[in-house]
Amino acid sequence: MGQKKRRPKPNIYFTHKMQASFLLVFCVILGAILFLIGKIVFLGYKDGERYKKKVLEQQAYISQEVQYKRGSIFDRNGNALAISDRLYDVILDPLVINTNSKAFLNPTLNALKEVFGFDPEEIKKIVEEKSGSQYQVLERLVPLEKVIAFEELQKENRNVRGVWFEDRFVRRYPFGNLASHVVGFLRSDNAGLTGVENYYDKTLTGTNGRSYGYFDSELNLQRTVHNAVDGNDVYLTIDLNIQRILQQEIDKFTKEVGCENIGIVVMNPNNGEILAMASDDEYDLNDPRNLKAFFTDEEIAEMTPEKQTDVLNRIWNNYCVTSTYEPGSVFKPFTVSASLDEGVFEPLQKFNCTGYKEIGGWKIYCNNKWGHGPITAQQAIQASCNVALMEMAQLLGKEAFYHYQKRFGFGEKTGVDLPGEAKGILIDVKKLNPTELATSSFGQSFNVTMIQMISGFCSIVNGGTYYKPHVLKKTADATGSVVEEIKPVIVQQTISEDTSRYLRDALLLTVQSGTGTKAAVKGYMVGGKTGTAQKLPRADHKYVVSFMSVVPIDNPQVVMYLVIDDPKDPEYSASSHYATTMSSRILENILPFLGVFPNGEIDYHIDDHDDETNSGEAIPE
Amino acid sequence: MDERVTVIEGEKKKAGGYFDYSLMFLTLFIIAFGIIFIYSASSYNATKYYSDPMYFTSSQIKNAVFAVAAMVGITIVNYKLYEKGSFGIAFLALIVCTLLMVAVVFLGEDHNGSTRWLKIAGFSFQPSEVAKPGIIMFVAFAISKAPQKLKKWTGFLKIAAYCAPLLGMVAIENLSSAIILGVIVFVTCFIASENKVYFIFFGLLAVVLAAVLIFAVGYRSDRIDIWLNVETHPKSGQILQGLYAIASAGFFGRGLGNSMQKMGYIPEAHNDMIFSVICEEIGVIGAIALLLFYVLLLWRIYAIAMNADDLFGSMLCVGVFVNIAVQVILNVAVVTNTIPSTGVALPFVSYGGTSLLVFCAEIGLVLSVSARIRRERVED
Repeated sequence: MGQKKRRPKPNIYFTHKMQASFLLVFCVILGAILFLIGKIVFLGYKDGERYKKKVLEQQAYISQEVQYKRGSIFDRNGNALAISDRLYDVILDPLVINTNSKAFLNPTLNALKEVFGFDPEEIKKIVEEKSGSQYQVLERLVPLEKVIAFEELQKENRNVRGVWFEDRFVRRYPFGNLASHVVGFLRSDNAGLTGVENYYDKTLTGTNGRSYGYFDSELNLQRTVHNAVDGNDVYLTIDLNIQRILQQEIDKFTKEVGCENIGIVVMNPNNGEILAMASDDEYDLNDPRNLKAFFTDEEIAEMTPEKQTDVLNRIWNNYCVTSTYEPGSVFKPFTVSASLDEGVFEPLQKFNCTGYKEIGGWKIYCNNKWGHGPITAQQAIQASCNVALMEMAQLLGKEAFYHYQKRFGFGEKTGVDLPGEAKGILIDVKKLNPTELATSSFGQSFNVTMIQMISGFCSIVNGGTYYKPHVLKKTADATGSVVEEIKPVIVQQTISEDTSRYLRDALLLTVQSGTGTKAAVKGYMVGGKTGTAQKLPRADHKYVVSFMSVVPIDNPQVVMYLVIDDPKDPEYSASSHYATTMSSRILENILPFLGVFPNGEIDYHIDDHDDETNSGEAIPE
Repeated sequence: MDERVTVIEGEKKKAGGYFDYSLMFLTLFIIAFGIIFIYSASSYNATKYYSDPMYFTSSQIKNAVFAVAAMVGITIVNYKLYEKGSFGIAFLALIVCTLLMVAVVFLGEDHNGSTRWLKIAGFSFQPSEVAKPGIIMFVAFAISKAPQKLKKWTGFLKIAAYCAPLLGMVAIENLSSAIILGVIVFVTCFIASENKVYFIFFGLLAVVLAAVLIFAVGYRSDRIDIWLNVETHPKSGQILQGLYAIASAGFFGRGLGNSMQKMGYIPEAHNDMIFSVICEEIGVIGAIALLLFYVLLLWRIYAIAMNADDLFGSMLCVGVFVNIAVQVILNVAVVTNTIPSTGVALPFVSYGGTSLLVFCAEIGLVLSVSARIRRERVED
């Protein structure tokens, strides 16, 4: 390249050496530019997230978020269970006042005193000490009326300056602890933590809007507002009146007798709607972290923070869907339905109960050690005979038994629209040996949830249709128009109508003259099944007593399931006494609310009701 | 060497000579890019203070038209004219620039605390900017007259001595411009000299001198504090807001026109800080793209220098090359807080008539050199 032969003076050209030097300089410059590119990338990597927030914070003054209103939660009759109230924080802007404090200070102090009752001296002190600040919170959560009153004063006197209001929504639960496990509450970031608040969080949540500020050609700050979209309202199938009665009864029981756990679920068997769901540790939704309702001050003081969290989580758990237990004899109608549906015995066929049955080298006793003698399946339910049930299960075989367990929804989530549902534990068909098949037939040796039991039971009494249990009735948008109406979801046909009818007769007999007589309600045809399951370890002699009731049994409208885990009364701990009597009391109170009236009442209610005593006698069909 | 080959092939049809269109279009492209970003960065403040979103943009468009016209004019004039005679126009340029600087120091208009502006026949301009092509021409002229003299350190000192009055006058008002001028003189002589050793000594001397100047003057050492404690220093506003813009932008930026920081947070976002708005709007990708365009521009100037018809032409290209490179690097280094803050315009992009005019004039000089590359040189 350096050959410049024809040039007369060798030195006045860009020589080879100069070119090399220039290349060196070019390389140095390229290096510097590469370094700077690296620096730009590094800045974004190191400070990007932090600076992004700073930029947004700075913009907050001219561009503000408009908060959406979270949807409300109502019961089936439109009583508000959870609502969001718009409340205001009072913000003082000393910088604005100090731009002309002679004119602005006193009128502002007076207005603040008049509306909010603030001490003028204190406010004056803030204005002087924090003179450069633009954000001093004077009071939080002030209602709208006060804000309007203050804005009126501002209109009258233009020298009232430097005060503005920041609105936000605060969640309120008007009924405190009513249906607390179903409704649930919010985390500090306004996302649902438990219950429907959690399960339907997306439905309830809206979208924040934003108001944008910009300067128009006259340099006035203009605002355009993109409105927030409020969350949808949720209507539950829960009936507050029934819920209240359940919780009152539970309160009474825990005070008078006491137990480990107690849960009650009321369902409509014809569509899967859950009408009420209560357990013993219903907590105040407005103050969910307060343990004082459950423990004494000393007990709370003794707890470590971890222990407190642990206890709170237990309290917040919804016993009716998250806890599992062995169902005991309430399961017997399931075994009978399965066997009858499979045709392994004739309806009038008799089993011979000798008081025990020997299976796999074990003698498994009936509840009546002397034996029930020859009894039909209906009588076996009525008397809660174990031996007849074990024989039925043997005839049915483990495959079919397991198949029916699955078919009734055991071992799987029911899909109820509440968070934290448990699956329960079944013995797998491969491990279901004769002994366990036998004990399973009367509801021992596998675990279920209350919601599984009642949902399955509904299908037994309603003619065999298994509806998915649910608490959502409908959703509506902020203007009140319905967004979605929940239709009953049929999961499957579990048994035939004939089998169902056979079982209804058996359940009626149980209450009329079997183990469940204490569950009878004057004037109603109540059907039901008792349960007394021995808890593990068996040696402790602790029991889960329960009662499933169906009213009216000839045309089921209401199914109620009541479970008492380990009642603290030695006399009755192993009997269904508490479960049946309590069921009777509750049913008597709640049935009128459900529009289920004593037999004959509708016919005679224009006259005096005189015919109530006879009504429970007739056997359907 | 490759360059030369492309030159022949590109020239086959044109007997007259070579013209570097890529350099011209790169320049025009960067100017247009700059105008778009001046509009984006300034429209908020222009509306706020002048009720006209196009206030700065239309003024810059006028500047650009004038500057491009000047570029074309200078391209047409044969650069060899400037070195004719032992007392050439190039030497005259140095004297005129020095006089202008004397004038500005005594007669200049106040602007932002320093008097940097001079008004002649209705035109306001900054003589410290005009000094840049002046000194490029003079150094190229001095070297081409007697390149062998640079073998000795006295030769470099002699050139430096001619430039010293101008540098001194500029330094009084605008240290960063003086530093840029110093770097142009230094690097151009370094490239031309066959003996590099004594530059190490002078280089160290220059660094010490600059350090003394920087730390001696109050507001400048304040800038050192800001540089070191950018997040906590109370006066770090402009630089910190620029950093917010750069770092918060992400890889693809917020999108053209969507900068949030230009709305009152970066003061005069269309001036020296415009690179931070570019980063915020078109992201790291956009910033890299712009820097690559500068590298392409520098590469074209480099190629022209390699093929210039004479040493004067080559040295002119070297001077322009150094000027543009140094200003790009300093500007980006300032907005990324790599060096302490100083007011350096981003070539062709930052708002400002004088700066744009001067850079276009310099590109005009380089294009003039490219237009006089002779075909027969490559035939041997």
